[in-house]
Amino acid sequence: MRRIVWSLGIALCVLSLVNIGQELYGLEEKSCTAIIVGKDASVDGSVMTTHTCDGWYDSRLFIIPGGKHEPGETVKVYKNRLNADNPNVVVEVVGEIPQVAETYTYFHIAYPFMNEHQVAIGESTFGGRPELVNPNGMFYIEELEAIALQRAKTAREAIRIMGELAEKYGYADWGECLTVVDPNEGWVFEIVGPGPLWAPDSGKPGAVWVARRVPDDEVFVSANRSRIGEIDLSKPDWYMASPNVYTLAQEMGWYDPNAGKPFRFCDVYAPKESFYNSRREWRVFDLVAPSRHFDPYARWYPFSVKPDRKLSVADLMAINRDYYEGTEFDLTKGMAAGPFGTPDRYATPSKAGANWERAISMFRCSYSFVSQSRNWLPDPIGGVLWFGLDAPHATCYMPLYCGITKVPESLQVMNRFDFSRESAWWAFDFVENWANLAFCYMIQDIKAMQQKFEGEFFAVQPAIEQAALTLYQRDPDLARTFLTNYCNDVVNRVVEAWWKFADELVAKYNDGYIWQKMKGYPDWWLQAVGYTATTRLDLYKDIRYEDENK
Amino acid sequence: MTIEQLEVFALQRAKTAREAIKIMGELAEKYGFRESCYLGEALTVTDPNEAWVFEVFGTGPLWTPESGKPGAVWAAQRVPDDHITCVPNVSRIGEIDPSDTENFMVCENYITTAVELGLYDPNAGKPFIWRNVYGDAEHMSTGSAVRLWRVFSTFAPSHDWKLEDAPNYPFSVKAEKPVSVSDVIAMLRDTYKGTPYDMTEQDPWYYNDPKLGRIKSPLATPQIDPTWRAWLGITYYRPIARYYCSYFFVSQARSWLPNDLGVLWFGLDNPENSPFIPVFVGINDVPESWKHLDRTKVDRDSSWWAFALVDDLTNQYYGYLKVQLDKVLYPFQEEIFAVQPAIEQVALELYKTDPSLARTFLTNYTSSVMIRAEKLYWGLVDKLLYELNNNRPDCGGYLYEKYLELLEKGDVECTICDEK
Repeated sequence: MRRIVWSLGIALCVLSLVNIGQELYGLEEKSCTAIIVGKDASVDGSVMTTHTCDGWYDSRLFIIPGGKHEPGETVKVYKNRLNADNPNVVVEVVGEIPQVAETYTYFHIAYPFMNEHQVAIGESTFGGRPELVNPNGMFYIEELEAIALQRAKTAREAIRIMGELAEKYGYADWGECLTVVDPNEGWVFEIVGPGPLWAPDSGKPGAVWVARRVPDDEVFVSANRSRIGEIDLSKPDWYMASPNVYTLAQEMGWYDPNAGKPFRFCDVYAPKESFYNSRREWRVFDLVAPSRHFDPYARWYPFSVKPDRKLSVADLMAINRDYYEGTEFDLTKGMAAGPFGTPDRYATPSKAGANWERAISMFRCSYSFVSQSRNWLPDPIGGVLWFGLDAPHATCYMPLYCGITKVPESLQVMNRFDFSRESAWWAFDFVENWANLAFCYMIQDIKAMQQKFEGEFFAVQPAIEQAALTLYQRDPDLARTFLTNYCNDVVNRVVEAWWKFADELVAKYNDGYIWQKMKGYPDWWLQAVGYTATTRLDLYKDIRYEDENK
Repeated sequence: MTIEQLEVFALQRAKTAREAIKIMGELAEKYGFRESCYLGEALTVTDPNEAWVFEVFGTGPLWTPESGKPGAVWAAQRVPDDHITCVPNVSRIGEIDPSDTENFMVCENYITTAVELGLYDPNAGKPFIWRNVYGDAEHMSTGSAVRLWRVFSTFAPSHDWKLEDAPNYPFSVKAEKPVSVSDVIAMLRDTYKGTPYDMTEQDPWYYNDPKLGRIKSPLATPQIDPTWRAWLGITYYRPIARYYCSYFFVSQARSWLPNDLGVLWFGLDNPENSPFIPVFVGINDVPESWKHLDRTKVDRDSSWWAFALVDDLTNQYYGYLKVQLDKVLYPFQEEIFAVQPAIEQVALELYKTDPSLARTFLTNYTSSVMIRAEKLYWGLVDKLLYELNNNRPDCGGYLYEKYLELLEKGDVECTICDEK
């Protein structure tokens, strides 16, 4: 996740001979975590990916229908569409490209995330060398995603489409990592700009990109730094890349093939060392493969690991919700967490080298998801996107099948400057904010709600899918209608329940009480803040003031 | 005890139709039957295996609880498994054979009470016909007769049913084709279209248009109230579906499924114009808006009002609006029917491993259909109000389809349009 204002980008470009990217990362106000689980690493054979969209991004969800198109039709390409809900951002059309004969229906959101063929995409900005960014390019990452979802039936197709478009029309964005999956496999796609010398008429590729497949029995994570190291383009089932992947690095002087060192994409195009990133990489791998005893202070972790046990959707939701509980980095512990152990660490002007510990679950998350793509089911039933609004730890993940034709309006109404009960996002956001009054208590209420609803959704999922399958065999459209009604009912019920829940929390935790009973503060905290200091009698001086009116 | 109170106790205490009848009969005898609506009552009592008609009457004003005598007369007759019957506000049980316990249940005093009340003379040599003795069924109203005629002639069309013979129709009749839920629903929606008793086809609705000749007014409606009937001179044939209906249902009890999967196809206001929603027996709750009703004020938080208003508004220009309403109602209903087998299949699967989860699933399903129906109908309320608004820019809903068509061709003038 990205989008640092341009003036800053240009300033960095001017100073680009020195790699000052690190300072930029100290300012991270945004960013994301994305995970891939291969089909043999999941409990049921699903290929799964995730994304926590950690910053202010457009969390309104739209279903953009596909269709047939006439020759000569074109598609507009935008800039800033991922912030379209921000009244202060201007969404611009930056180009227009030929349309294809047929497009597919997809879920549109800041970072478009799934289409009707179960192709799903997660996202994580890694930045990369600032001098690679070239504003003459047409494409920002979210636009590549949107077009790939409209045109691709498989992850490989999606990658090829995005790579070709970026090469042809130029990539204007910072370095980005996408997790691209389909019902059979998961790929990691990483892309950076073409550098300052590229122009649309230069005849050269307008981007550098590389893709690597995740082994079916392994788990991959991206946490805002490039994760693809060495590549072997002689194995097209495992690696893909733009034709300039080596040459541009040589031209820029970042790689010398004769120096005897292997070519590592991440080191060449996006060198980065920061706990902001490595800690989350460690956390995901340590959670899924504790037997490996990964060191949390390591500089580099493998591209992917085989989990100790196979993973479920619920496991990935738990990872999305993680703030290092039970580790030395646990954000609910210590003075910074306050008396009631909140994991939230708000943004603050950064001093060089300083940052809060960065967990996977963040208060500023706009939305997150866990997707399932399954090759044994028809597409409209096989693809499920478990969608959550606001911070993962306080959200409720709601199943959205990729074959549905509409979503409730409450998912499509959103204004961050106008708190509204018509908007689902505000329900989750409000509860998360309110929880900070007494986090260690309220998170228990929140977990109970999550358990109630998500537990029900998981429990009925096989039945819902069985019903949909029965209907699908007779009439695919009827199956879509059935799933549309189911998903809309789920969202409506959850959102209504969350507003009621919010009201209950307001009353329950009013004025520092719990249902008007004192909860007090923990002793360690009272001592730490000097609670007794002003009430000790030995602080008295032996002075008495007489009443002057006597 | 009133009839609805007997029903409550029976439903709380009975596992079968026969048990329910026995319970109600005993309670009515012991505590006395109190008329809550109009004299005698008939109940259709079914379980997954059989169907009965239960009828009960009071024993006259002289009965007191202290008299030691039964406070009610009641009888019940079983409907043969391959038969249908109908109870249209008239007693239906004829001769009773108390010894045939497979097909009859009856109170002991059913003849003595009639004799005491002077309703039956055992020495007159006439058989005891329950419905004539207690129900005066030989003088049944046309409103009852026409419904009997419609139901019997629909499900047993090969007979030559005559409206005037209705008092002599048998208790029940063999269905000539197996009857489905949607057949019964169609019957509850019926207003006699295509029969001689369709009130919208009576002469007063027709008039001579200078260009079109004899045409039917779009105001013609089967949901016509007594004032309008009197004014227009319409002969009344009481349709099965009525505008003043509060709620309606078609129940489905199936011996091969768990009880929780029993279905009540339930709806509010006029069955002609409202959807039938599958309410499963095993559900734990229904939405708030389906539990709340105040008829003294229009309330957007009460689903009944949505259905009632759509029905009322449609009826204002029935000829024009009913066809439009059907284009919304029928696809919605068809979709519910189409999905139903899958819902039941899934519920059954869940039931095998976790009945409580099956109930949650069914509760959510029924509730989601209710909420969708209610939202759909509130949307229709606004649309119909617009259709009926006489200041709307496109000349108003009173211009029915044919008229609009002619208007477009220039065959008639839009005088209203000129006034704008």
